[in-house]
Amino acid sequence: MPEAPLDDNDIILEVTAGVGGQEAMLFTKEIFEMYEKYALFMNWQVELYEHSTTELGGLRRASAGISGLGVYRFLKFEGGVHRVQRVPKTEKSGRVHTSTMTVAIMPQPKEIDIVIKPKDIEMDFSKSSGKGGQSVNTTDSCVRLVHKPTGIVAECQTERSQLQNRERAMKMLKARIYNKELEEQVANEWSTRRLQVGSRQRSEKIRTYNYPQDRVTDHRIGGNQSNLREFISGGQSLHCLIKCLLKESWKESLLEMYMYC
Amino acid sequence: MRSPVNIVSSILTKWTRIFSHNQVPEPSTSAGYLVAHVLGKKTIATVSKQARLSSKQLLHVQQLCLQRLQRRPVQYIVGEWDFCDLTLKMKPPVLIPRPETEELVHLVLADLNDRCPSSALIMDVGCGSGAICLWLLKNRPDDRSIAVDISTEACQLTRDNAESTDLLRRLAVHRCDVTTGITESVDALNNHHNLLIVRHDVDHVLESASTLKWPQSFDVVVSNPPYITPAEMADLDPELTWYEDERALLGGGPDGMDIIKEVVRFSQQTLKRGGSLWLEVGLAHPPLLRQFVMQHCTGLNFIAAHPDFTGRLRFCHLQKS
Repeated sequence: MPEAPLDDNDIILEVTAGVGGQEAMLFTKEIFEMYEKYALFMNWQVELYEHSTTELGGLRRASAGISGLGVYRFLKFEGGVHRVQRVPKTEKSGRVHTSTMTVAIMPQPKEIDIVIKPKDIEMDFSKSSGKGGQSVNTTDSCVRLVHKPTGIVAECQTERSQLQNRERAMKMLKARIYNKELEEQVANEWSTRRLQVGSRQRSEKIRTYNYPQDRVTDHRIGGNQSNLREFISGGQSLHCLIKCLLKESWKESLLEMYMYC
Repeated sequence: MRSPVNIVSSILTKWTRIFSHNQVPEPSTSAGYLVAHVLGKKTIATVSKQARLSSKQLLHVQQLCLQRLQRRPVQYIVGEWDFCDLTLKMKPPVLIPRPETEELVHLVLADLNDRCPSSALIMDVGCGSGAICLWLLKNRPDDRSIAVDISTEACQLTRDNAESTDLLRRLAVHRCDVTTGITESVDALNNHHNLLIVRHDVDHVLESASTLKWPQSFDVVVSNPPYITPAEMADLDPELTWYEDERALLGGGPDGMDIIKEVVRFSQQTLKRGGSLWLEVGLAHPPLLRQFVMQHCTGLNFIAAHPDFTGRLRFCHLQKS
């Protein structure tokens, strides 16, 4: 299969809980863990950037950098709204609820792809006043970066080392700025393809996980996968679906080329 | 309905409140690190706030938090900390590496990569926990280093950290006092006099460097020497004054520059031609140091002062002509 230009890039994976309150946040945690396990399965490296859990065990949002061979190529069609249908643990009447979460896949820019002037970045960290250095002991290493021209923000406090938090926040910031630019370009392109990437996809329902019927349905290619538990464990089952998606996408691009040449 | 007392979020709230009430600095950050440590994690970021602690774990959290109530630094309670991507053991009274020093080592690395593409010999004066020399050795696989400190505990800790990071083969640690007249100390080292050699299996290359000519031996001398002024000392938190070695903090003299000047004099003799001295200093020091070097140090040039992440000048680069 021919490679698209960004296929080689590392990515930032972001998950956000959607509609459904606590149940949506639990589902967000499960999907994030699914991709963490998939990354392990594919021998990729995962760096955690953001992880905000709730008091009741769910995940409000999280960001991670994933690097390795073909990361963007395999994950690019995972972006969009994922939907779960099941009886929540807290539900007394046994009714099935529908909750959602959103996955965003952002390719990380290579050095030449993006130019950010250091003076355009404002860094917030603890103890910004005071003498610093030897005169104080500090363990609060949270770093928040703001890109002044665009207002884009990135924050990281997953590491003990301030420098490591800064490096990760910087990667997130660059990816967000880069993706904003990319999406502005893509927004002008018109396509009838079912398999697309970008912000249009962000609000599209792409997949439903139905627990009572034990099936996963991808709405772009139709068809059902059974054994939901296996699928959500981020192994062979998910990998198979992803390969199907890639094949479909290739067919669609050929068709498009044929129709418009 | 109140949440059970043994879940993480309740424990964090409780101890944050207690620390805050007792004027312990960084109350919620401290609670976060201590609870994470009991649960075997480095930071609280990935710990589920709903996780339950066993009674044994609850007791452990309490023990650690009581230490924090006595203003013991988190890094000493946990016994280790991260310096960039290196995890190092921390033990009182050896100075805990500050975040600014993470920037210093990157500046030194860039300088080394620029001037010494192949291997270099690095001297770390006042090595403390070994953060500086160990990080440099890790990022430059062909370099060798000699690290010195006035404190026996610091030398031992540097050695322990070198062992756990598998860098001991390229490092020799010596206890020595750079203020007792550098020439004496250098001759003393040559004669193995007044010297506690912590490491016994000295690498052949290092052996020749340490017994041969110390004068003009080093490509880089790097130091984060004590630089706090007497006035600043009075304002320091108990975390520093009760637990960290005063010798690692007090710079000496009314401007806190006594030790800095000793390190500069030491470098004059021990740097190779074109070699660099990199120093982390107090915020008032860069212009004072520049003047000192111009007036008193023939053969040494003040190249530049570099800012830290707050945008204030803190790192000084000197070079032997």
